[in-house]
Amino acid sequence: MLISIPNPCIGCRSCEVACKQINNLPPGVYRIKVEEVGPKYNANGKIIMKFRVVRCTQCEKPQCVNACPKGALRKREDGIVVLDKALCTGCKTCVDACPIHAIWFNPETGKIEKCDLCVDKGLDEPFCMKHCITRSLHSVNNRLSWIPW
Amino acid sequence: MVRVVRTVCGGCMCECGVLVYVDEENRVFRIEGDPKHPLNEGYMCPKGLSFMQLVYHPERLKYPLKRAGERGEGKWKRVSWDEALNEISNELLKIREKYGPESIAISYGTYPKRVAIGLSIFLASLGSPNQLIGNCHYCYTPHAIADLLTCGEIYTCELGVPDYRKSKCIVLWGYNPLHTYPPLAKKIIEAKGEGAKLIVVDPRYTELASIADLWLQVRPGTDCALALGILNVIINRKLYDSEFVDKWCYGFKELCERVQKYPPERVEEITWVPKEKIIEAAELYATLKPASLHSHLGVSMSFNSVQASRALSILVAITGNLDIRGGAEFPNYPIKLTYMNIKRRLRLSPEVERKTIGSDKYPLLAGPESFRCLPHPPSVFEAMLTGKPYPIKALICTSNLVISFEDGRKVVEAFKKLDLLIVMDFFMTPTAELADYVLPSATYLECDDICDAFCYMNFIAARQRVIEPLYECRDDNEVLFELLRRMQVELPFPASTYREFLDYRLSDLGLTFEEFKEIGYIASEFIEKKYEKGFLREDGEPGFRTPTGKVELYSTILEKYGYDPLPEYVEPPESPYSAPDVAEKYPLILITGARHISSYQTMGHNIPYLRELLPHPLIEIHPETAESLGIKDGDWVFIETPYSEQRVKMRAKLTYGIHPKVVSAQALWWYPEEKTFEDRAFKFNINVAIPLKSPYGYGPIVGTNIMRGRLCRVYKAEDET
Ligand code: SF4
Ligand code: SF4
Ligand code: SF4
Repeated sequence: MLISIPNPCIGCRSCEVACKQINNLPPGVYRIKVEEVGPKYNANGKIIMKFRVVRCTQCEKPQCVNACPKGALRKREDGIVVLDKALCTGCKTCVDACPIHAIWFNPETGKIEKCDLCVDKGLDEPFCMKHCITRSLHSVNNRLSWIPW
Repeated sequence: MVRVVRTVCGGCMCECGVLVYVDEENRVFRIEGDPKHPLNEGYMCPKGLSFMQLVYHPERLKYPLKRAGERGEGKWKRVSWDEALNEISNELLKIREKYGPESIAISYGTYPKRVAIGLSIFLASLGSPNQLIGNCHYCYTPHAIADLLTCGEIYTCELGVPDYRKSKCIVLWGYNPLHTYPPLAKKIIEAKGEGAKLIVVDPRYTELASIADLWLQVRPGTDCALALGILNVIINRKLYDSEFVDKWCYGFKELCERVQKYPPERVEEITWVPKEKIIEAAELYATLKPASLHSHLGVSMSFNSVQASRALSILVAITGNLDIRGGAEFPNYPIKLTYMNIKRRLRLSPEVERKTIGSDKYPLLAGPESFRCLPHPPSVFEAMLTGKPYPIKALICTSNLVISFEDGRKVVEAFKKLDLLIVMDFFMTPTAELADYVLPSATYLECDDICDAFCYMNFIAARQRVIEPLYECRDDNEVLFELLRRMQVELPFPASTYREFLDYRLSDLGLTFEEFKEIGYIASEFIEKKYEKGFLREDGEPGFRTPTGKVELYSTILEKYGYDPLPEYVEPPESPYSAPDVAEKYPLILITGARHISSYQTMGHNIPYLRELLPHPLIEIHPETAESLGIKDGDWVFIETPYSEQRVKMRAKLTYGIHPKVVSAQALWWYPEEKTFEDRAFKFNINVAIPLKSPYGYGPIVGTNIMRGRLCRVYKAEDET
C-alpha cells in the first residue's frame, strides 16, 4: 500500500539539475528551484525540516499571461502555460507578475524561462519528474498534475 | 541519427544505470536514468545529471604532461603517450631495481571502481604490497574488518544492502545515503512510504532524519556506547532471536555480561541520547523483522572505530537479520571474478606482505594475516617523509590526496620527497599540480567495463564506451595494462589488455564482453541463509567463515591479537570529558566529513550545475552558540583545532539541526578557481586542520585518525568576505 504524502520532497535537488540539463539553462537561471525550510521547531516543540519547490503551477487564471505586453505567453487548451520565444522581448513584466516567482530571466538568451512541463521535448513525462527521488510518494503521476511539493 | 546507449554512470561509486543520447556529431546531449536498471530504476542524482559538464569541461586534461620546472611550479611540457609511457616504465623499473618493489605505491580513492582493479593488478604484478586506499583507516575498512571478524562477511557498510522495500525497519547509523548513496536513499524513501520504520542515528538532523520515526542525536564519537546500550535493552528484555543465537553464535554469555555495564541510564550520560529513545530504538529494531542496519563514516571516523562497528555487526547478528531478504543480504554475484575476488587473488606471498607499511602495528589491517592487506595510510606518508621503515619512492595516484587526506600540507611535503609521482585524472587538481607526469583519464562515457558495485549485491552491469575518448584521453585501466606490457612484467591473469581481461572475467558465463554489452545486466538469484547451506565456507560445510565457524560475538581473532574480544566503549581522547583543559580553549566538538549530494569526494566543485547547488563550504552551528560567538547566518568564520597550526575558513550555516556544543564542517572542499595553490588547496579545506598524528596517536586495530569528535574553536572572520 502506497501512502501518498502531500509534500514528500526531500531536497535531493535532482529536479533542479535535470531541468537545467534538458533546457540547457545557465547558472543562476531556473525553471524549478528547491528551497529548504528549517530545520526549526514547530509550535509543538518538534524539530522539522521541509522543502518548498518553486515551479510554475500552470495557474487556472495565469497572471503572467495577462501581464505580458507582447502576448508571448498563452494558456493552451490542455492547461499548460507556454512561451512563444519569438515574441518574448525579455521585458520581465511577467517575472514581476508571477505571484510565486516561478519565472526567471535568462541573460544568455535575453528571454524568460518558465516551466512548460517539457511539452516540446518528446518525453513521456517531465524530465524533473522522471528524476525525482520521491517520485513514488507523489499522489499524482500524470504530467499536468505533477506538482512536486 | 540520434543514438541511445545504455551504460553505467561513473559519477560516484553507486554505478546507476543510464541512457545516453548522442547526436550525429557524436556529441552527448542528454543523460537520463535507466528505468530498467535494478539499482536506480530511472532515478539519477545531480552529479550524474550534470556529468556532461565534466566530459566537455574546457579545463579537462587533454594530453599527457611532463613536469618542466620545479615540482608544483606549474610548468609543463606536452609529451606523447609513447614518450610518457616509455619514460615512466623505465623509471619504475629503475626504482624497483634500486629500492625494491615495495618502494612503489599506488593510491586510489575517489571514483574507486574506475581504476581500482587496474591499479591493484598493476601493483601486485610489480610485487609491491603498498596499495594506499587513500583513507582506509577511517572509511569503509573499519566496518569491513568488524564484520569480517564477526562473521566472515561484510554487511554493515557498503555491502549487505537489501532491497529496502522488503525491510520493515531501516536503521541509518552515522550514514546519510541521501547525499552519498542517492539510489539507495530512493529505495529507503519508498520503503518508508510503504510503512517501514526508519531510525536515524546522527548528530545532525538530516533530510532523512526529518522523515524518520526516530532520530537519535548522538554525541560524536560515542556510537559504541549507544550500540552497547541498545544491545543491553535487547538482551535484557530478551528481544533477540534466541534460536539463531543458540545455533549460530559464539560467546553470547560473555556478551551478556559485557552489556550489563551499559544500562540506558549510563548510556544517556555518555551519548546525550535520552534513555527513552534508546529503549524505543532497541524495541523497534529488534521486534520488526526483517530489519536492515547500515553505517558509514559517522562511526568509522571515530577513535575506536572497529570496536564501535563491531557492536553494530553484533546487533545485526543477534536479531537474526543476517542473510535474509530485507535484512543484511550477503552478495551472490553471477560471476566469480568479482572485484572482491580479484583482490583476493592478488594477495602476495607472506614475506612480501610482511613488508606492508603498518603491518607491525596493525596486523589485522596490513600484512599476511590481515583481511585485506592495506598499508596504514598515515604511516605511508611518514615513510615518504622520513624514509622509515623504508622509503616510498614512486606513487601512481588516481585520487586527490592533497585535498582528501588529513593534514594536506604534510601530504605536499611528502610528495616533494618522491622520485616519481604520476597522477591520472580529469583535471589539474592540487595533487596533479605536484606530479612529474599527469595523464589524462577517460570518463565513464569513454570506457568499457564490468560494473559490480558494492550496492549491487546480486547482479553485474555493462559499462560501454559511448563516445571515443576526447582529445588524447585514455582509459586508466588500459594505460596500466600497457605500462605492464612495456615493463615486460608478467600478469597474474591470462590477459594482456584490459579488454581481454574483461572477457576473462566473464568466461565462467561463457560470454564475451561484446555479448555482455548487448545484454546489459545479468542478475542471479538471492539465496537466503547461505550459512545454512554451506555456501559461505571454503570447506562447503554449513556455518560462517570464522575460526569457530560461528558468528563470533566474542571474537577469537581479536583475542589472539591481544585486543578486547568484545566491544567496549572508550571515551574519545579529545573530548570535553577526557581533555577538559584542552576544551577550555577549544570548547566545541567538531565533526568533519559531512558530504553533500553535489560532490563526490573532491569532484564537483568545478562543475557549474553542481557548484551552484553549494557554492561555499558550510559549517553548521546551532543558533544559540552562534549568537554567543557573534556569528550570523552566512558569515565567514575560522575554525581552529588544538594540534594544528592551520586555520580553515568556512561559511556559517545556523541550524537547530545540530547540538549547541557540536559543529559540523563539510568535507573535501577546494576552490579550483582560486589563484594560489594555498587558496585552492588549503584555505577552505577542513582536512588541513587535522594533524597527521595527534599526541594521543591513532585508534587501535586499524589506526584510525579521528575525523569526527575532535575539539575546535570557531570565530568570526572579521573584514573577510
Ligand atoms: S517539467 Fe520540464 S521544464 Fe518544467 S520544471 Fe520540470 S524539467 Fe523543467
Ligand atoms: S527531485 Fe523531488 S525530492 Fe528531489 S528536490 Fe526535486 S521535488 Fe524534491
Ligand atoms: S548516484 Fe548519481 S553520480 Fe552516482 S552513479 Fe548514480 S547518478 Fe551517477
